[in-house]
Amino acid sequence: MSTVLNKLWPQSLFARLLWVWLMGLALVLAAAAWLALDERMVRGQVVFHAKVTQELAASADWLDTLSPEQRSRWVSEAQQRRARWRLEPPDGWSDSATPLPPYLRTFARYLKEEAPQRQPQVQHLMLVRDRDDDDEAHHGQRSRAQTWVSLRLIDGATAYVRLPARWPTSTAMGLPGPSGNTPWGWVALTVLVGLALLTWLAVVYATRPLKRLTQAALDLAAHPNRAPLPDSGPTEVRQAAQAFNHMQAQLQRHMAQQTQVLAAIAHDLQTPLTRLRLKTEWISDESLRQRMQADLSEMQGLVQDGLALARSWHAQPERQPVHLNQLLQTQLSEWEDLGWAVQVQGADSDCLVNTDVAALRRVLGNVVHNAITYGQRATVTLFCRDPDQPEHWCIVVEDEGPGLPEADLQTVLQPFVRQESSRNRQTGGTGLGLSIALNLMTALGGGLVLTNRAQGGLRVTLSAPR
Amino acid sequence: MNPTTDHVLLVDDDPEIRQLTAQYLEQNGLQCSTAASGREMRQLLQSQRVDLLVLDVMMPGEDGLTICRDLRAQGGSHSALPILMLTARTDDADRILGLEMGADDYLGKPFVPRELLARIRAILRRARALPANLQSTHSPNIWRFSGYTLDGVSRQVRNPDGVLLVLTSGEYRLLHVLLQHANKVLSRDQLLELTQGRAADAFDRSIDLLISRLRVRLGEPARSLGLIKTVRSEGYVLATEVLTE
Repeated sequence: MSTVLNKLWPQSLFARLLWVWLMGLALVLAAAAWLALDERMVRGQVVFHAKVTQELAASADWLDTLSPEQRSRWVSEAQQRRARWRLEPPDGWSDSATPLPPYLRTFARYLKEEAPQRQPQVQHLMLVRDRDDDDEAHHGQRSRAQTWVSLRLIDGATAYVRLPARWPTSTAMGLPGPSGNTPWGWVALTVLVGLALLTWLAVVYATRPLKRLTQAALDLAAHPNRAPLPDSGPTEVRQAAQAFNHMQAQLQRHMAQQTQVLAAIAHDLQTPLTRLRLKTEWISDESLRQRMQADLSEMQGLVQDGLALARSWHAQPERQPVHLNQLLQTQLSEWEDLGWAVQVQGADSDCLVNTDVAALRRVLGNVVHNAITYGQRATVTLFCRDPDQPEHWCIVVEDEGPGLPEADLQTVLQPFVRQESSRNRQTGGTGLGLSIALNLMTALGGGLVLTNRAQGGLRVTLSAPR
Repeated sequence: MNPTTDHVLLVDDDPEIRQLTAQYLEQNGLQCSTAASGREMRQLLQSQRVDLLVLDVMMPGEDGLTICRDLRAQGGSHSALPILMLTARTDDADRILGLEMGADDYLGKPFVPRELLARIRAILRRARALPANLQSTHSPNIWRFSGYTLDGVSRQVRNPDGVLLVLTSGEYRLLHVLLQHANKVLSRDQLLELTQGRAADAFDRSIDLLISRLRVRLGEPARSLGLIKTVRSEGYVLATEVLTE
């Protein structure tokens, strides 16, 4: 049961609001319509009952004034629109109580309790099924069941009156004008379509700011320096936008402070590091001197990478037209000069893109250095059009190393997170290279994804808008 | 004092770095004086012969870049004085700015003393070895040749379509040198002298390899035009009209 409800209850706020509104409005309308119709029906019934009773009373009064002979003659001749008279009981008549349909029960009660003073002396009211009477055959099935009332006349005689076969139905009574012609289906459809349209508009209007806020939050993750949200719209939306902008400003301030602190530390460390480096030249123990110099180099590397990382948090790309294949060829020359075993593929034809060359060269340098460090050799493949996103370019760097445990594929991108595995500083480097690369790629509007190759080794996929 | 010993003047605001560096350089056969500020430096320059200036960029008051620019602009006896900049900032923009201000080379702090010594020697050797007409102390910012543009401030080279050409630092230096001496044949040795010493990396390739790489990087129309010509048994020449700004 609950699963059915869960299935009916939509997931999105948009659909839920739409659902609640439409269902609610439909229910309210139905209830209102029912109440209105019921009230009109009751009134209509009363009016109708009164009329019938009046006619019965008038006829009874008239019959009272006649002698029995005159009555028989009149009855045989009288053709009234709504009633037929008999002085003998109709076929199937019985004086004992018989069950009555609801509309007749109501009428019987009316006759007993609410009829005007000149009420006819109603003895009995019953529904007679008379198949012989075909006067009213054109009324269809209903004409076969006839309603008869027995009246006691003033001289003690009994007259039988047939009530109209066309007893008004609830629909016909509820509405003025020619009954049964109102296109109820169309009215309902128009109301429902109108309601649906209005509801849809209202819900779109209500949920659009939420969507904008969601998009802004997503953008913020990628671009902390994105433009603030417009301070416009209804009060709640404006307040939400202001709160969001405030949060963004605070975030930017925090990041700027972090960067400033890092930059200041990095800068102020340069002088003591320089002094220490100079002092090591006077250490006579050569082994000690070399070990201290190695330590100093490591500290210096950490300071520089830390500074580069801090700057990469809010890098502002300077895009320029450049051929990616040409850039890769140049990088290949540099890597070859460093003695790295790098192979470049897919860089034979021109691939013109707009990108920040300095940032991209740094990214490639870090990623390929990482591949060489852990995988000995690297293969760099250029896809001028990313197979998954045609408007992006894509560069894939693959190594032949051990790859990474699946759990580390994400964490290795976070700065200063040490892996359980062998990827630590004993192999050189500060481990910040990939974090810096990720930040720079993000600033370019692209991304950096790590995956393990099926045949072993790590695959780094870089992609960014062309 | 031995007049043939090269005299280096070190300008740095940190007393300990001044003392330690000077000590190191003197141990390695150089004469070294120190100054804590631009004012002290000028006094020393007035009274002594100085062969090379080592200048710290980040100094309180008058910073290294300002001092460097002033020296070059004076047009006096010190306008051709070789200058090596020490910079704590490792931003490329700062390094380049230092070179455009007229410095001959730069070195990031903290530096390895041996490298400082090597750079100093390289600059001094170049100053001695190259004929005066090959020594250029001032360099224009923008060079235009056969539709190509080299921007010396941003260190960017563009082809006639305005597309950025990515060069290694060695290739860039070679092109820069060829432009500075356009339409003059430069021998391999001269090219080596002119391209090394300035931010020399340990992996400088032979000039022939650098030239062939540079030809590939420049692509068309440089290839069809024969922009970089090989002069048999002499060297190479960049043969085109060069406009500077």
